[in-house]
Amino acid sequence: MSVLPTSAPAEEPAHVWGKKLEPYLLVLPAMLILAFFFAGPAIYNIALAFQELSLFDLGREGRWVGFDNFAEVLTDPSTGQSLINTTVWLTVVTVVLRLVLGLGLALLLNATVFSRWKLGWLVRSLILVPWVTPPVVAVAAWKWLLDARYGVVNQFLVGIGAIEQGIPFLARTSTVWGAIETMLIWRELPFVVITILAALQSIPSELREAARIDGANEFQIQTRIVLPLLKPVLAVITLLTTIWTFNNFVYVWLATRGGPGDYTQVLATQMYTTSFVDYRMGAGAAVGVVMSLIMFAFALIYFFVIFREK
Amino acid sequence: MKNIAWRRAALMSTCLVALSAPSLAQDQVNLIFRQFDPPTETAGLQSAIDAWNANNADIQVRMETMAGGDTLAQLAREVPAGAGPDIQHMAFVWTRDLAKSNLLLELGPLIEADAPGSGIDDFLALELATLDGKIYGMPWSADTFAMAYRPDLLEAAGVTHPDTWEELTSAAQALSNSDGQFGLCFPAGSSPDSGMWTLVNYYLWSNGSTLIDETSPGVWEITATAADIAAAMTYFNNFFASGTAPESLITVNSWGDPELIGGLGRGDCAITFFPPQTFRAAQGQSEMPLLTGMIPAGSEKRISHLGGRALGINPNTKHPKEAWAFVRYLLSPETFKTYNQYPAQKSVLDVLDFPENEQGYVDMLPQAQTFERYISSPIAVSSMTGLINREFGAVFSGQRSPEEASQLVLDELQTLLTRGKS
Amino acid sequence: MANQSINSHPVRDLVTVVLGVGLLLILAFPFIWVVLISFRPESEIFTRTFQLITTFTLDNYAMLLEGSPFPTYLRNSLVVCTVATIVAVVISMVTAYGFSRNRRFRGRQTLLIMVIATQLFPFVILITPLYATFFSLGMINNPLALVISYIAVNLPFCIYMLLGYLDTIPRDLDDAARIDGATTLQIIFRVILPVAWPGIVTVAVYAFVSAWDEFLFALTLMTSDENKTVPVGLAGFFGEYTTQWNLVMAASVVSTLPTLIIFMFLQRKLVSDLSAGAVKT
Repeated sequence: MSVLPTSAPAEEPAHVWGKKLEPYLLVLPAMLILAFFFAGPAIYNIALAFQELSLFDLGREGRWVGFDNFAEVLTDPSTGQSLINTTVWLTVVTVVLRLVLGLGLALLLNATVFSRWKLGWLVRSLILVPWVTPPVVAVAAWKWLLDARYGVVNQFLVGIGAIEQGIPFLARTSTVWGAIETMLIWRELPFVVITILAALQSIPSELREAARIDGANEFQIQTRIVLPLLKPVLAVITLLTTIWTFNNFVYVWLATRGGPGDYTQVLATQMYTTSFVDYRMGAGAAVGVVMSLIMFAFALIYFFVIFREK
Repeated sequence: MKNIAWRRAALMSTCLVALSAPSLAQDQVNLIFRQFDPPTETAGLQSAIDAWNANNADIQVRMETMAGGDTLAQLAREVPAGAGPDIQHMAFVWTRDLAKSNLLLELGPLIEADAPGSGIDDFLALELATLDGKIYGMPWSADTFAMAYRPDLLEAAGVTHPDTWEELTSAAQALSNSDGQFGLCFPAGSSPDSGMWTLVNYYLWSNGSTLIDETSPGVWEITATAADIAAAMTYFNNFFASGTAPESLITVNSWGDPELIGGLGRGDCAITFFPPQTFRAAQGQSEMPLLTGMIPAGSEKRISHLGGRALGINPNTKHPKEAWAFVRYLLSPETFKTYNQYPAQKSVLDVLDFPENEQGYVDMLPQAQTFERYISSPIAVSSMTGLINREFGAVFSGQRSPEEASQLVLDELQTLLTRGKS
Repeated sequence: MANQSINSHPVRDLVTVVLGVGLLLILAFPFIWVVLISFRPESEIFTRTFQLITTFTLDNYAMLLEGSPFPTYLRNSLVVCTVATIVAVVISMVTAYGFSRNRRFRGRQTLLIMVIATQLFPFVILITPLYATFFSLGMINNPLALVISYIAVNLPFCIYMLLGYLDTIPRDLDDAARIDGATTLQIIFRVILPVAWPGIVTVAVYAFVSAWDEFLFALTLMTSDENKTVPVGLAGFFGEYTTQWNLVMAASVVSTLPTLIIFMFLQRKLVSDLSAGAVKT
């Protein structure tokens, strides 16, 4: 497993000591930066969740209120709906779709024909376009594409006779989540694609060739040879996109601000509204801590299920 | 706190240096003025500042821009840390919140030493800048909203400018047709910063209702009834139900949204409401001339709100006197020659000429009332705004009936009031 | 790569390319829309929002590049994001190697969980104490503050992603180099780095794009015009009552170009390096 035992001769204790210390030295710089940057603020965030403090009094200590903020968050009837929205509609749906679509697109773009025709670098760059579009512009452009009357999407749907009149997708409860998810998946898909593409590139072509010579068809090669090799990368992508999406505020905020009504309210917009509309920093921080705890639990379970296997 | 003490020490030592070397005429003061309007609205302001800098070699001012929505939170981070701009551009409604937490310099002594404009009583909406009898901000520019419409479309439909809310409903009906022209457009979005809030209050106030009021000194009560709020919800929802406003507006929050500006410009919408800056932008992009008119009257009166921007000074500034001199300059008629805004001073306002198509604003200004009543209440105005917009949106999108939604509004207002009092 | 032409089928190749490029064009469509709008006169942006063909003008770009501080923002973004990306990738390379090649040192699991834990807290609340810290260090309006922030924000992903890639690289390479007397750092940067290049490019692009898009830190830590970055500059075009959509559109086209160009360059280099590497081994 490890290179340590084989490469550390027993008669050099100093060297052994250095070898033992080496992993710590290697990871130390990153850990120091992360500690400097995150430790203090995270503790501040947790402490804030136990206080009643106005946005305008950030320089002072708030009134300590114990678990009141948490009690409020957990008993607020809207929290349940926000939690379902965040988990199901915002996170699970888009993470699953991104993985499926991203994997399919990556496998397609990894076809040898692109490199043989010297198009590889081009398609790998074109795929980035949605991702490098600033979110505020991406959402605005999508709103125009989805416009009830003039938007390309509605004109197309009316044109092919699928609907009689344009649908204001973001204004209706039946379509609003689909519209937000489309925007999110559109913009975030490239990240999944290029990450998988990079992993595919590092799979030696000899492996496929060998399988092919053994008589495996293309489908078998993809599922039996390629997919298992992609597993570590897919595991990391799934973990991180889940956390990022769960905490994501931008798409819902730019597209609907949580509306119509409170139909698309998610935990991140609830936290923002509590902190910066109601000016209640303590209560907002409590929403944040609840979110962190949920994701921490998820990460721990995920970590032990996926990474323990090795 | 430590920072401020440290800064004071630094300040004193620089003063000592300055005293010991009076011959060195390098006491140029550099000030930062932070404002939050976009570049199109501030070209005139920049030239006014350039003129100041040219005439005041010893006080140089640099304009800094920060997008509106983030300014307040940024100030709340900066000032307690001992930082922040010297002079701050604020919405009228922020001043008291900032003053309460000592994030603004009290201007009383400066005003006394060197009064601005034609005296302090000349300023509009000064009550919003006052806390416990002390002044913390100078009202600078004022605005109100007016009805904006396409006279050609009204004429074609044989409709005159609607004068009451009922007339607006029937005008919208007459102006809507099957070619996709809608009678009325308005921001009906559910965002905490949606324009819906303003229209709801115009409707409530003009019909003799208000969300919250000080029924006797120091006693705040929710004064609107569920029926009042439900009536307002039904009124606005009726435009969607009858098809005289496009359903897509349910997701439009901003006055400057392409749906509104483009709708009026293309002729998809005949009537809307706009603040002056948006009206000018819409006129610039419209195929046909636009006009403004008064806000519709209700059963009691005709009313709009008096909003605007104020100027405040950071308590951390090292140069309050110089900052005040610059604030006085910004308040002067001189600035408004190039800065295209309505000044928040009666005397300056009187002498300015306004373009004819902006007559609606000139007519509405005397009938405009500030949000003073709400701002003095124990509930944060932004919380009320968020609540109202959310529940109106819930009605528009069919999630709740006006009865359910109005009851929810009352319940939550009561919760906010109880929390605000404690 | 020549050996792969053995199994080329012209029809299947064509279908694959048409399908792939077609999908990419559909994906790019909203952005193509933005590009089209960016060439319209301001007066037609609202009234003809939905028409495909309108008057063509370069005014928006002229106004953006000559009449606004946007070029400064662009330069700031380029400097900050490039420096932050390079440093983040180098540090995470070393860190990921440490985690990858040492499977059972004490505290490894805990440290890895701590790295993920940094992703859990909402930035909008973390920003307040961070502002105070940077202010006490005298680093407000100092681009270094942004560089540090972007390194810290990107490290967790970079470490995890590179860890995934390094795990797939056989240890024989390390062992061979070590026998030749190479130090650990030499192994990381001379032996592993060239092999891990596809993963490194991906991680670098991720770090660059997420720094390029970052708004909250840039807004809070860089308040003066000469230090602002692209996303903050873009936000400045949005007002309470009006929005300059013509400048927003032109600015977003301009701001996407550097990332695309950098990535195209890295991709080409990647392709040539890979074929070179294939020859060597």
